[in-house]
Amino acid sequence: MKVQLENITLAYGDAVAIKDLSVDIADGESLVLLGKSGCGKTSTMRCVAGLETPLSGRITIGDTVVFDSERRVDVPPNKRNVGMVFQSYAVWPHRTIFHNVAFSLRQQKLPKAEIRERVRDVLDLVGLTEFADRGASLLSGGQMQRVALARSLVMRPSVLLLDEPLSNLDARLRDRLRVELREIQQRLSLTCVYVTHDQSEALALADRIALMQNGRIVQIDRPEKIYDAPFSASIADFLGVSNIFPCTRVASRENLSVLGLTGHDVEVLSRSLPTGPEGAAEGSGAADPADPATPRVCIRPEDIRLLTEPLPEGGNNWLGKVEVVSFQGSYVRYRVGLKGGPELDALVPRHGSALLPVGTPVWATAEPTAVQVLPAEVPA
Amino acid sequence: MTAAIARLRRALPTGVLLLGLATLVIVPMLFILLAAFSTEVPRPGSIGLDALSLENFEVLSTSQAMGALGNSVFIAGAASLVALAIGCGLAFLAARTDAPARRLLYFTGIAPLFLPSLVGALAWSLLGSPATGFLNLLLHGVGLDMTLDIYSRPGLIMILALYYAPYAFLLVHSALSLMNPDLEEAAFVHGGTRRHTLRRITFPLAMPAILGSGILIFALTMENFPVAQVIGNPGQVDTLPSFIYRLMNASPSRGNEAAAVAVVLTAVLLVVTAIQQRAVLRRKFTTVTGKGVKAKLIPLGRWRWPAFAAAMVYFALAVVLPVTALLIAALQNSPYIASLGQLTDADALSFYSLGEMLTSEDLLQAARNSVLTAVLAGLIGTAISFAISYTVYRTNAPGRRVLEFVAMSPLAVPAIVLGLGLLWTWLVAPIPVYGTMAVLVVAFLAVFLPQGYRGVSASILQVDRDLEDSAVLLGSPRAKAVSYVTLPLMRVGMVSTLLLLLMLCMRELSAALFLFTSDTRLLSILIFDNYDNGAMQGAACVSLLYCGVILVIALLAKSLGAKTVEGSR
Amino acid sequence: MTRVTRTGEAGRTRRGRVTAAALAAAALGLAAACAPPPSVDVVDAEQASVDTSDGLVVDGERIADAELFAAATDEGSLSLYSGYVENSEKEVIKAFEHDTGIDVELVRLVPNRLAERVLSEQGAGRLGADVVRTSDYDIASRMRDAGVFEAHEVPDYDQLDDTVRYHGGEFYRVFNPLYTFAYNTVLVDEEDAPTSWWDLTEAEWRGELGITQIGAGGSSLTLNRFQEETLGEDFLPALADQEPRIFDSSSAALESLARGEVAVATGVVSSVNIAASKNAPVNFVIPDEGMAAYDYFVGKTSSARHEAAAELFVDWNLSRRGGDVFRQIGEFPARDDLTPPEVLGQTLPTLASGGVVRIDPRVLLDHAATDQRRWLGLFGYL
Repeated sequence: MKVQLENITLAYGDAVAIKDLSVDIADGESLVLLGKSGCGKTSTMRCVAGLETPLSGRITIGDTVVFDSERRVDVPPNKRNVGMVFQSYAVWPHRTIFHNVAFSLRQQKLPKAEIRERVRDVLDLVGLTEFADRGASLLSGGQMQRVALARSLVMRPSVLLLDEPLSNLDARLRDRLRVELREIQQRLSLTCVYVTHDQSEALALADRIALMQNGRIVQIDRPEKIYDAPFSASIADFLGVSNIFPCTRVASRENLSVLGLTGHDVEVLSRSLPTGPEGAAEGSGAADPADPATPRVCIRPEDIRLLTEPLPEGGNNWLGKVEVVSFQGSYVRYRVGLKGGPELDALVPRHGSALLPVGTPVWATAEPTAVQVLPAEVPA
Repeated sequence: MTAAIARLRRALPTGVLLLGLATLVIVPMLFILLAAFSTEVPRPGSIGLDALSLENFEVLSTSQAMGALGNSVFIAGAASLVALAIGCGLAFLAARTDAPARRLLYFTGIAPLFLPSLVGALAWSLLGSPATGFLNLLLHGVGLDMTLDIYSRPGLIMILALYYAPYAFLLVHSALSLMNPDLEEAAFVHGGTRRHTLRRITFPLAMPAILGSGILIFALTMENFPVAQVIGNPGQVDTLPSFIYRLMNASPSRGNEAAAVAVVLTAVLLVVTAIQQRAVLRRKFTTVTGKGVKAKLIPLGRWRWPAFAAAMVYFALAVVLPVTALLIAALQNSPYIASLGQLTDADALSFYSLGEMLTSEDLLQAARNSVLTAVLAGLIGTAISFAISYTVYRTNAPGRRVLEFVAMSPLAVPAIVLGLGLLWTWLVAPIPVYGTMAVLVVAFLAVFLPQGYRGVSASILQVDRDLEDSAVLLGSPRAKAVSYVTLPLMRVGMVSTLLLLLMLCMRELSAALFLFTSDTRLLSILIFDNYDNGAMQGAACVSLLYCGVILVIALLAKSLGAKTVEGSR
Repeated sequence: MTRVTRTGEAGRTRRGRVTAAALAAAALGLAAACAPPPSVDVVDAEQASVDTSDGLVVDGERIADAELFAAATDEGSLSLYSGYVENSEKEVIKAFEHDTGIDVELVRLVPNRLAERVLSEQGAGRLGADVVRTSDYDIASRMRDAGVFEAHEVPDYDQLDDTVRYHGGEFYRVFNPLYTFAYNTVLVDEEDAPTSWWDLTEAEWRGELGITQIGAGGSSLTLNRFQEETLGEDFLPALADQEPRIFDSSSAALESLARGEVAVATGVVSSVNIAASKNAPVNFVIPDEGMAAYDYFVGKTSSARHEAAAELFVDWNLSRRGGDVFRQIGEFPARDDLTPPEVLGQTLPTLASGGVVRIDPRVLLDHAATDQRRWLGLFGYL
């Protein structure tokens, strides 16, 4: 079912957790709330569940208004038919798996036979069929996660909320469950709200990603759109862009911008135009790097190539020296100290070639189209 | 309008709780204050602000009052130092060294808890009274010309230290044994010698526990009444609690002056408790949780056996000798003996009196009363503690911090003072509670509220809030979620708290001192009453039984895996 | 502890442990003989012959008529709030229950706590007592002022003088405990025992004496007044010079006396009597200068729910039979038609002989504050 949040504001005492937040989630859509801890993403989810009471705003699930500060509607959590998988799983350790999963159905006083059948079906779905009578305290993390999921799915929730459900698992299990989760969500065409601080998880699970900072959604879009065109340097930073430098615009050349890195004697060519506040990038060379208005140059490490010769046709050509080499299997991560410039992070596919030893002089390059100029933050 | 109603509904449970706690704790204190600044003792029909005066505080300017204050501070200070030395030493031996029979050492550390200080004091007055104390008879019997006089400041200090050392032992023992061995190993690896590591790493890490328990013991010994009365009074050593008792029992009763002294005692304790709470809070940062890895034992070398012997001396002084003395006193046919040899005479000892006492209606009634009040106070106390803990930790009801503060406040109020306040409260209250068992239950609820609250809240904090929330999201009403998920998961914590309260109530004397009447006597009161009426043999008989009951509760608690004694203040 | 060195302490402990263990073992073995210790009943309730065919007649004395006795029996029980020594009160109750078959529910508190409770309950209009017994004229008067008592005339009302009946029968003086001094019979031979109060100020008793603090109750005040009036004002300073041990209550003093902590202590005849009956090596002295008698009062309450039983109890207390029970305990009955008790083989002097001095309650009251202050000053006590 569709879920609608309108102008939600939530505060704990004096600390405002969510500021005037609005978002529409379509029926069957998987929305990922992505952000650092403390950005308000979990609070937003808990508002939907009814575990937090916003100061103001309205929440609608399907056609039912479950919360409306003006009309004093506040449907208690147990009447909202919202499923939730907690970060801690919250699987009751003193009950068997069957009892955990059957809880909501018993609460609805369904016939025993139906309960058994639905529990079996959902345990099949998450692959725990033979564990039904096991005590929940004996499960591994992955199994607990599945029980938590099954427990929520069995009640056929209007919307399923998942609060960092994979963060307590090891990396390999995380990868596998991520795919499983996505598959189940798509198969059941569940409306999902998924909270995470892990960008790769967000990219893999989302129909849309809502990026949250300081209690606001700063960018909401399809995963690939956000990946390609973050609104700000801090979003880019969050999405894994590790080369971010404050800059000033020096000149335009053809349809490229020439940018000077603040405090360094290096020029960067970019095809994109600064999207920051009007004219900010046009300012003098004395721009303050700490000033959020100062635009940032952002280059993904995988967009940087390391060459032994400079590119003949010009463009971005920076001379530097390899300072750190870190072998990562199919990729090698280098840190290159640019001559008269900052250190640059480069993620280079290996293709069987030998690693560059520390101290090797290299030419680093990046396509002007891969160089984005972004404001530090999305303006409030 | 609706907003106001909604807010009211949200605040209602907290309001009801606050109101209940205020009647339990705050109102009695107000009565103490009122009495202290008034010329009339609160009584139905004579309560009001028209008799205000400061003259009660004149009693404080008497040399006796100043002496009592000085004694209280000096004795509590000295007793805490000695108790700390004993407790820390034993804890170190039991937790971190290769001393022999370390389980026995552990038992030695906690065993004196099974002898309430009242019993310990009675036993020591049998052992160490100057003319006919058993130990003095022994000294004279072997031809030594010295007499120890337990009725003195050093005597008081020794007895208090003996019976409060377990508090230091427990806290320091757990700090030492939970200490992450990595921290010490890190010191070794970086070239620290054993001695150096102990001094620079181990003790500083245990310091908050040591300090915290030291201050705790100071507060406890400061407000201790039974030892002060039984040991201090014959030696004319007054402390503030015994001073309050005497003023109350003077004829005519000097309740207003007693209240004035009570205000002073509470003020001193308030400061001490504030310091202690800060020490406890700081401890939270430094308590280094172990991964269950045992820290390395420190070899004692040639000090192994001497250290063990020292521990056994403590065991003898705190447990063996007192229990023996009580047993002899319970069996003696005549209260007087001129030498220990007399005890081997044919008619010297008999189980007759003990048997008489143990089957007497007085004792049975007191035992019934004790068990009934303790169980009721335990159950209700645990329930109230749960309600408070739940409100504080699981809701964002307004006023929950105040609630927590009020729940912890009895820590700063000496039991004897709270008892006094409760006396006046329930004398004046329109509900006929005074003189019944109910008032004793109320007193115990009030006095042990902090222990109950601390026990339950520690337990509720261990149960993830999500567990309950998930039940609610799955369609269950909140109350059902609590009973289906939260309460079952808190079972051990709740049972421990219940048993802790049970144990504390069984041991308590001071709070009930002004509240009992002859038909609502508890075991502790019966002992004190017997002592007060000069029936030492009766007191000894009941004491033995009393220790037995407490031991049974403690064993029960231990078998349920409860950390019973730890929460005692 | 003052004279013990550290080494001494350790040595004492080790030896103490060994000996104590041995003693415990010996005790267990010996005590297989569970024979009761030699003790005697203080009051032999069974001795009295009771006839209830027409009212209550005990040993030929008619205590209640048929109507009152029947009503009291119907009520079946009564509630007594008492400040009297618990063991003694229980002896009294045992005799009363034997004679009448009416149960007495006892609430016992020391007199000033009792006053506190009675006045509070009275103030709240829910006094639970049918009968109140207390020492101290002052306390009884305060209760009376609060409306606790209701006048009731006992059968022999007209024969009683005004030191016995008060306010038309609101309360009565029933008996007087006698305050004297006692000694430990093992530590002190009978012929060496002090025989007069002034003997106590002799050098040989220095440090051997126990006394009770003046705040302990009306008994202490009475003894004090007696000492001031009969022995002269030099006596207390002389006593203070003896550095006696001061006890909080007379029962604590007696207990220490029995254990031999002190050789001689001030004490009450009846308490000494009861202690001796329980095999304590104590005896009291009838001093040459006499001894002090303090008052115990009893009265029926205005809110009595067992009215007949309450009246019967008061009547019984003031009867010759009641007086006799108090005599057996060792108290001095208020009725002047009874001979003084014989306690532990000693016949107590009569009031007329001057050997027993009762202080008039008003005199006591007038001097209470000054006496207390003087005493506290002399003995350096609060």
